[in-house]
Amino acid sequence: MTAAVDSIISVKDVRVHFKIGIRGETVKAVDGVSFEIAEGDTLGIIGESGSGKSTLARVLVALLAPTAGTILQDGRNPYELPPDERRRQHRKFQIIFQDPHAALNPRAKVLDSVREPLEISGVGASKQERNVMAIAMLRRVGINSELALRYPHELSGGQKQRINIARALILQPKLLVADEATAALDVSIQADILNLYMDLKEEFNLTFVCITHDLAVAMHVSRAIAVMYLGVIVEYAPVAVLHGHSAHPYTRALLSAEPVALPKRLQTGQRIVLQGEIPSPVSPPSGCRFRTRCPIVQPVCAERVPEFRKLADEHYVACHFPLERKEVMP
Amino acid sequence: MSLELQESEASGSTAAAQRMTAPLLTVKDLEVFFRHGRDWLRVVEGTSFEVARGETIGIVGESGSGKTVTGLSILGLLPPGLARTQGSIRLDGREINGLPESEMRSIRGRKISMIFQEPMTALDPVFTVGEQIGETLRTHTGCSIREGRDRAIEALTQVGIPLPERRINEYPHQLSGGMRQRVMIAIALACEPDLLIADEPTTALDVTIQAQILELLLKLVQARGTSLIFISHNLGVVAQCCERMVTMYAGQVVETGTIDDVLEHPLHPYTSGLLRSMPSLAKPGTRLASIGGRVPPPDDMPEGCHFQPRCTHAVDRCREPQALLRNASGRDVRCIRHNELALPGVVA
Repeated sequence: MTAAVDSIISVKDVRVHFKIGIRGETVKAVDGVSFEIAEGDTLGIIGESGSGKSTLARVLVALLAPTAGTILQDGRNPYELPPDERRRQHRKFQIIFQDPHAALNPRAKVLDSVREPLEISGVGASKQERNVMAIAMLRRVGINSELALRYPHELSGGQKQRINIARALILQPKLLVADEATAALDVSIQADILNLYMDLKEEFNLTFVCITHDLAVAMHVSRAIAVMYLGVIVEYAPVAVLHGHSAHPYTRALLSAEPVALPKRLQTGQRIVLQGEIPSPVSPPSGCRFRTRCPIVQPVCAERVPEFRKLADEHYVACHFPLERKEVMP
Repeated sequence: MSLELQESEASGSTAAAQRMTAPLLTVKDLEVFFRHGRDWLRVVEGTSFEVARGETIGIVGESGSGKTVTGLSILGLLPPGLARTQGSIRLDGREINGLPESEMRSIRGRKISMIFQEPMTALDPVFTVGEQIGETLRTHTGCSIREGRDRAIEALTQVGIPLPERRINEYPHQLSGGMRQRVMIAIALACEPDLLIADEPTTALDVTIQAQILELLLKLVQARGTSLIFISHNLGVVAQCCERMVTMYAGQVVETGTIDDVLEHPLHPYTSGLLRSMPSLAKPGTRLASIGGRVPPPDDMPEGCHFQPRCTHAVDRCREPQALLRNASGRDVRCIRHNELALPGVVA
């Protein structure tokens, strides 16, 4: 959605379908998503369970090949590169997962886990040199060198997530995807990790993609947000625009449903409680996917798929009846 | 159970009037110990709070603060032999801490109910939804199987489950997370308890489903005048649901007050730190105020104030044991410096 010349990620009509069951049903986890991320930008991708955000995360770092459509990393399609070239490209696109414990080898010491990527990529002349690099990176993410010889089970959740960050950054990637990377942490620890992300982003000149169900986290760290619902992006806008100017009824409902810790006198704004639940991605509704829960649904919504269109500069929405700025939903 | 009912009927209107003003639940100096090898570790320490009839209070704290253990000890659900409790838990003036299991059974589900975070593990996978609601009703009211079934359908209707006649024959795995939590609410409220303890009831749910469940829960407890203890790490949810909140840290109550008072003028440095670390209230892209450090483990509690090693306001006196102090406006706080400090809340 920014000029194609300097975009580090370019996703075009990407679909990821999984075959399940014996009857050959297909889960359409991601079903036609297009966007671009400019180098150095921070994009938040928000959505609820089943929206396809984690599947999309894996597509961005080429862990999962799209069923249809193309993904360009740095202008190159990873699936058209020769194998060793592709591996080299892999290093520049890293991901951090939700469960910091599951992401670490329980039998490997912290230092070994952080050094491993260097070994695999043949960076550094000797084991000693790689150890020095690993310890420097651990120190940068706030892990004391005395913890380097511990095992993951001896560390807290926040410390483990710092180690995962060190592991992801040690090959000096260009892009870092954080998939619910603070969801398992307590609020005060989450604040430390979010601060670390923001510092490292500056320091390593990273492009950062924050995938989360937590709107407050996404809004805090991102410059722009893509809102996903049932495999598609329904709205894309800079954070400043999304605050109060969101045009898609789903975005409005999502933002209003998030409970905010404010005194009652400051709890303003309409709270929209959506009825029903997110439909199955095996057989999504015809036309607009959100129509079964939409408070302002019209007959046309069942017939035609709304086009993902430009409302304003950098503001895109997929809705037949986008909301005006001050418009109140029934 | 029946004995107690007769008693309360006989005691007349003055007692009834008194009951309206006296708190429903009074927890005083509650201490919970867990067995740790040969020792006992104190995981909840000197916890005191009250819940009035029809009141909704939130217990807020991070992992390891003791909020769930406090909830379980009120219901007498901690494993005997591995845990022991001290102090007083009075329900309607009657001491329930240390009651024999047979008597606790008549209180659980009938007078106090609980909803847990993960409805899939709280429901029995091998019984249908209808059987599980019916069981609660039959145990506590002695109704027939048929009557239990009818009332189960009614209970499911009240929690907004479509086609309840069909749903009562389904097993938990056939329902979505939101529907399962509705079933849990139906079971918990089936016998119209006086007190409902909800332990992170929406943490496993999506935001839009969470909004539905909170709306439903509040509507039902308000309509029945049920008191609610809402245990959560999410301050936003507590601000939306509760009138008062209790902040716990490292096994202790550190602060109580009405939601608005605590959010605007926290008295304890930990509460203030917790509020300031929330990304929703910070300016986008700025550094979040961080508390630093982490919650001490129960076998390595710092001396005096448990928060003192992480506190920027700590002085020498903080290394002495701290009592829960009542301030001029009736709020409890476990900080000797609460009168000198003007701590920032959510409104800068």
